[in-house]
Amino acid sequence: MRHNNANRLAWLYGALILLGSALVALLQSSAS
Amino acid sequence: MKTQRRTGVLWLALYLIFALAPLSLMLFGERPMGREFEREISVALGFTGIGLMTLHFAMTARIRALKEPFGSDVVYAFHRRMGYITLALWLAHPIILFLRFEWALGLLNVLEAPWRARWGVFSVVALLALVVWAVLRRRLRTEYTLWRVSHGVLALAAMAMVMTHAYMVGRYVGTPLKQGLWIAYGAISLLLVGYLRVWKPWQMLRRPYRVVEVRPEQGNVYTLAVEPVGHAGLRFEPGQFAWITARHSPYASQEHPFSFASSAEQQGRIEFSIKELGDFTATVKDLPPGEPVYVDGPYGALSPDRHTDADAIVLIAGGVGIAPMMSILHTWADRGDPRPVTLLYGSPEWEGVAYRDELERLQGAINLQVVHVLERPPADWEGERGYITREILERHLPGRDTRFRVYLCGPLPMLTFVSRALREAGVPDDRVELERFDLV
Repeated sequence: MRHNNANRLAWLYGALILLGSALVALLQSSAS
Repeated sequence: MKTQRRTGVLWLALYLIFALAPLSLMLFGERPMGREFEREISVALGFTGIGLMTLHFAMTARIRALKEPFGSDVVYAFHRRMGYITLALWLAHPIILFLRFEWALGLLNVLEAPWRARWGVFSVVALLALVVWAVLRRRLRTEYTLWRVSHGVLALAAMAMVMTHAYMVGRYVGTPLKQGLWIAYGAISLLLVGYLRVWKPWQMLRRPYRVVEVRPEQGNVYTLAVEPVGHAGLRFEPGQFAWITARHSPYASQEHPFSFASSAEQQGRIEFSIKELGDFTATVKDLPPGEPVYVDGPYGALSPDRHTDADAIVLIAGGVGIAPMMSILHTWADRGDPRPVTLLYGSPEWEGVAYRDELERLQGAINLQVVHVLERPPADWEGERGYITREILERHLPGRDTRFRVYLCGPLPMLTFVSRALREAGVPDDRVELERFDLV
């Protein structure tokens, strides 16, 4: 794997983490 | 090759699972209800931030199985990128709270804030210092070992403080199962540090080496030859590297990465190529014969032994990136490998071309063509000049009907430049293996 791929993968993981966190926060804040 | 790709995918999947697992704390079992979205996302980002932190310990613990599929330099590049993302998550956690809740700003006052908030503030400051220092290390001219030890200590301190913070705040960590997950993350981080700093040095002490000779080459490069003491040495592939400790105990965190320069077929005497650049490298030439040396390796994925499908190989080296190529060439000679090798070797000036005499000799021993490319050639130079461009590549690469592979090693700007030139010359990316020489 090349350095560019490492870079892209880091961005992808960052985006997934953000998405996952937002989803969980949404679920949790709308739960009652 | 196929197994390695599969292992690589497995590691990448595990990485994501470990990063996202803390979010499960917020979805199951006992959990606070009816809180604002901003507060929840702040917590979620903080939790994944702690997950990522643990993974940094895994990436830097020099676990060979983990680095094999990618190459150490790529793992370090990924570690750096994810470092920025980790810091962004750790910063986003309080900043979201500050923006949404006025009271939250008061928590920054570490003199009066409750301890649960203080630990949070301290941990972010520690991580911020760690990342800023890592980015500015070269500009600040921090001595390598001092930086590396501080990097590790700051990381452990940040981790301990952030876990204390999460535990004292106490949301989502009410049940033993949830506490268990946190303890697991903390314990894994500690175990990884223990593996790198206690277990590995112990292994190195049990398998020592001693200096046979230190030979000066051209271009401020020294060849350090060592031999195993009381054991058989280690097996490596040509093109790999190892971490070396000299003049210190392996426990002193004084190891530096150097390429093997000798043949992979000769384990009884191993040579490393060392360029005199700074702190440690400048003292290598004074190592007396008999001096103990400790070797941790092999690492690195720049090896033609991993691809047996090539009819010819092309080696492209910039500066001291020649070291792994020397190992490949000596191995070729020892094995009597008849496949043709082309070496494109970029250097600033003829005077500083390391191993040029040895390359001359090797041309007689194996099917090798050496092409020197000089940035500032002497007046009577008839060879290639400038940088390794598309035109130079097209003149010297094997013909289209030859299945060849390219191995490229040098500093990052050279790798970027030559990779582009290779693409322009029509060499597909999957035929090119590259390794950045300045690893850390």
